[in-house]
Amino acid sequence: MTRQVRLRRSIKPGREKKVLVTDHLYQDGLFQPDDVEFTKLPRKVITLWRIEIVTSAVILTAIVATFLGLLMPWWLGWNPLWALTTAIFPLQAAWSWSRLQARWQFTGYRLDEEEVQVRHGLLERSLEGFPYGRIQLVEVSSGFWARRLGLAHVSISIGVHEHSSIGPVTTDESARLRSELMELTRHKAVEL
Amino acid sequence: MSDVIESGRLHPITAVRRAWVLISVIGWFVFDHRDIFAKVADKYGLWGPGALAAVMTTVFIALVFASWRNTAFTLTADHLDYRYGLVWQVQRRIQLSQIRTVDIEHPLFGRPIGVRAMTFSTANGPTKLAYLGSRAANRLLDAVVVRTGASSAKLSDEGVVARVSATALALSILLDAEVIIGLCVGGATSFAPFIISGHALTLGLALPWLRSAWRATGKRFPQYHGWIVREVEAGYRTESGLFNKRQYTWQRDRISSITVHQPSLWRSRNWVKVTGGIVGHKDLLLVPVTTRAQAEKMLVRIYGPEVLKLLDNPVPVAPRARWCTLWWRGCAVSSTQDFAAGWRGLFLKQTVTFARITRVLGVHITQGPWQRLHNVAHVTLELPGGSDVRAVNRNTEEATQIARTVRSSAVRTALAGVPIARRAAR
Repeated sequence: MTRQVRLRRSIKPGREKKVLVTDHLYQDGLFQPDDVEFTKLPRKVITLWRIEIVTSAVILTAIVATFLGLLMPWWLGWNPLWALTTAIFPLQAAWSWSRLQARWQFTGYRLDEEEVQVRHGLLERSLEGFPYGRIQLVEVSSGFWARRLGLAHVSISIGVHEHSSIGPVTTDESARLRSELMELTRHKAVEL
Repeated sequence: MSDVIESGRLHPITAVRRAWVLISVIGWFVFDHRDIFAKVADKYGLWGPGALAAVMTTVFIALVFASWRNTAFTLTADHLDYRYGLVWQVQRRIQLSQIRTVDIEHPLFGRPIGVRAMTFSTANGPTKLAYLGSRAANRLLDAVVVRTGASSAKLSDEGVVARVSATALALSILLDAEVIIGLCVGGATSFAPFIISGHALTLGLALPWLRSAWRATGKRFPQYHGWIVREVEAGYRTESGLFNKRQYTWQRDRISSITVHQPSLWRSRNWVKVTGGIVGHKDLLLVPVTTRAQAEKMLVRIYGPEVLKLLDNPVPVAPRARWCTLWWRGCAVSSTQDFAAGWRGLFLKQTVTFARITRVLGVHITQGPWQRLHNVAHVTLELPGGSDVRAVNRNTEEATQIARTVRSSAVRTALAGVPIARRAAR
């Protein structure tokens, strides 16, 4: 209940309904262990996600259209099947765009006494938790658009092939997170 | 500065093998400009091409010699240094405490001159020392194995635990339905663009399929031929290879997980394949085919008898999971205070992964939209090397409970372990 009240206050008037919809998707503690708040990402992240959505939709649509045009030239033109195939990625992008607010509400991270927890996803949701003692590597990276928006990712490696990533967060926050994680890891690191 | 225990240069053949690009370039140059040799021979007689060949040979030998001079290893009480390269010089240092396994290979073309290749596996991946003379390789192996906590490879017990016959191996490859169906589907998909369009260029899309087809079938037989698993004090040693002989030493306390695989067509024979997760390797093969009883004995030797309790008590998924996966009957999970096991697969292959909870690196909950509709979620326990124990499609309440329990155990273990910083200070 406390969480709902807090979220309502943080959102502009007229968006309460959307907040309630995202809130019940925490699935009664599955993605909200111990009912503790997660730190949210800066609002600028939504702009970055918008840029990524549009860029990937344009590139993937161009690839599909070119591929279909080369392999099946008789499909080109106003063939409805061709139009439908090439419209898949723009439609998916439009849906992702419309759900960015929910994605932002869900995404977050938390540093407690013993472990770091990272929560992310839109359709496929996930919650990852790593004890500080197991962290092997902390890396800060920033892509072209993220740099322009003053954002950076903080990647955490625990000795498996895939890395988990916090963010993007502001560059100041990324530096602080790196220092804090490295400090905690330095004291608690144990051999794999 | 630690005292040097063992040091030396690699076998001279190493430099020749490294220079294969140079040899290819020189060969191509000579072939492509053979008319130059003819012109020089016309002008100066046989002395001309002879001198030219002598100059090229001298340059080649000098480069090979310089490369050999620069390829050396040094073993001290706490690290192994390896330097190589002529133009791009590399110096690599491996802490002995980080070495997980030591692998010796007898390459086919190196066997007549008695050279060996040694591979040291660490969390960052393998480092290969190729080639060493057989005596140098044995000395280095003994020295490294002793210093990484295991007893000498030569002095250890030579008891054979499992031996794979050529017939069983060939049959197991042919009966691996997952691989065969995968190859048929992959082949159909890879050649579909060519069949539809008729463009010869689209045949290039089938190259990855050809590569994986070779790796999944033809390459496995010579690679796994004569597979033997021996018990050694450290744990197990595997030996295999028809052309290239390989040896792998498994240290018991480095094993983070054991997975038992059973393809559907192996069930009538009760055959299984056993792989293990070690830091730096996801699924390292322990035995390509053996009986289930033998696999369980190996499991008990690695983890102790308590692990058998897991096999007796698999907790199946709730019936509602049938809406999320076709093989819901094959999914189960089991855990005790110290171990966890996850069952996956039903039709083509069943796998069971066992791991100590103390080795869990992280806990990962995932839930897709369809799972959300049916109130189920996956819980993945991440293990060193990239393997995992996965509780597939558990009820959300149960998933929360599993995650909470394992997370607290993993945190307790991480806190209970001797921190590296404190050990370094000591």
